[in-house]
Amino acid sequence: MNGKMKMQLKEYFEAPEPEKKQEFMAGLPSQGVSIMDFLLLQAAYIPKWVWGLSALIFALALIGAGYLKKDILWCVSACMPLPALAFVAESGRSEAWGMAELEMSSRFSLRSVLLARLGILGLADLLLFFLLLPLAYMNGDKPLFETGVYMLCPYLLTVFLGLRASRRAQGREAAWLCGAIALGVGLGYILMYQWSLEFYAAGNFPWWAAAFVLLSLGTAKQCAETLKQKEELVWSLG
Amino acid sequence: MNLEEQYDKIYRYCYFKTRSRETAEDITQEAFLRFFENRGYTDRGRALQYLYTVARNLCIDEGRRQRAWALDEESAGVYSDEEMLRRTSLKAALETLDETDRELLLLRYVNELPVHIIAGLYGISRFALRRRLAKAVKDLKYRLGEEDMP
Repeated sequence: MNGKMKMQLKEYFEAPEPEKKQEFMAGLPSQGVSIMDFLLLQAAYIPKWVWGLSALIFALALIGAGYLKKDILWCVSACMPLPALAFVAESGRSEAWGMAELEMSSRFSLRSVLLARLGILGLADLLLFFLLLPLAYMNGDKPLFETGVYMLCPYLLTVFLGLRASRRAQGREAAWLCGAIALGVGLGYILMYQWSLEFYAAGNFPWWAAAFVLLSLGTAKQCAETLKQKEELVWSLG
Repeated sequence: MNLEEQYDKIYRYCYFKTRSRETAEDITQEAFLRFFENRGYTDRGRALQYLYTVARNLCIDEGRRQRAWALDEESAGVYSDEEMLRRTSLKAALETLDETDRELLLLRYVNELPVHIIAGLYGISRFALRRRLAKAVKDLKYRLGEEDMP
């Protein structure tokens, strides 16, 4: 349809000015916010230590890269469970502090709030990953793709196990459990690297790649189930 | 969603259905109030479809109550003779179309509602909707003398 025809249709369907519009709009309960405003609003509620932790990991990697050279890869990889822990902790923060019911009855549904915060943290972690990747790549002896896979596996494993655990445990118990998982994955990574010189051997890479694919799928499924559980909580309140 | 903009569009749609300013405005406000009562739809990205469904159902209910809607007064005398002639021929061409086709033209080209929402509103496939819209536009152009016989 051309512009002239659209103009003609607009003329035909022209309606007289509504008389009670302004009065009605002024009395509406809320005018809503744009997606960007909503995201910025939610970003402000993410605890400062989460941003501080990411900055600290990046700063340490930047300083450590000069000294550790090849070892920077496993050091950075062993740190990846920490931002993952922040991601998981955010998914259960409302319940850990007994605020879930209150948030569900507020202006935005708990599901939207959680989706926004996890999205922001996910993007922030992705940014951290892309900042750390060149450091690990330039100082290591592995190809770029392999370096990325080695770094993401512990992150995905922590998110996968953490989300799974946080849906089963309750309140503060879930927070401790997620902390223990992150610590366990980080320490496990360090110990495995120290004990086995073949940890990053080229022959083992297909196993790493397979683990990466499985963990990516598993993590996506856990995120979806966590969001679904929050939605169901609303129904169980009634 | 810009509520002010949607208010105007829903009101225009209701006015087309009821031909009464007052009834159209009452229905628009009722649709918005029901929309705010049922916030779940705003979270699932179905806000527009919900609003239009409520407005359409309310217009149908109102139509059943008042079988014959009185047409508002035409704005004769406001336009020049040439403009009046153009508007009259446009009105005559549009009125040869089916009521539903006119409604679809309003929703798609005036209110600029996405195809999937209109298709959902009328319970037809997107393909069927596109075909129907294309036919309505072609018929309209023919009536206005902009196109040869279909």
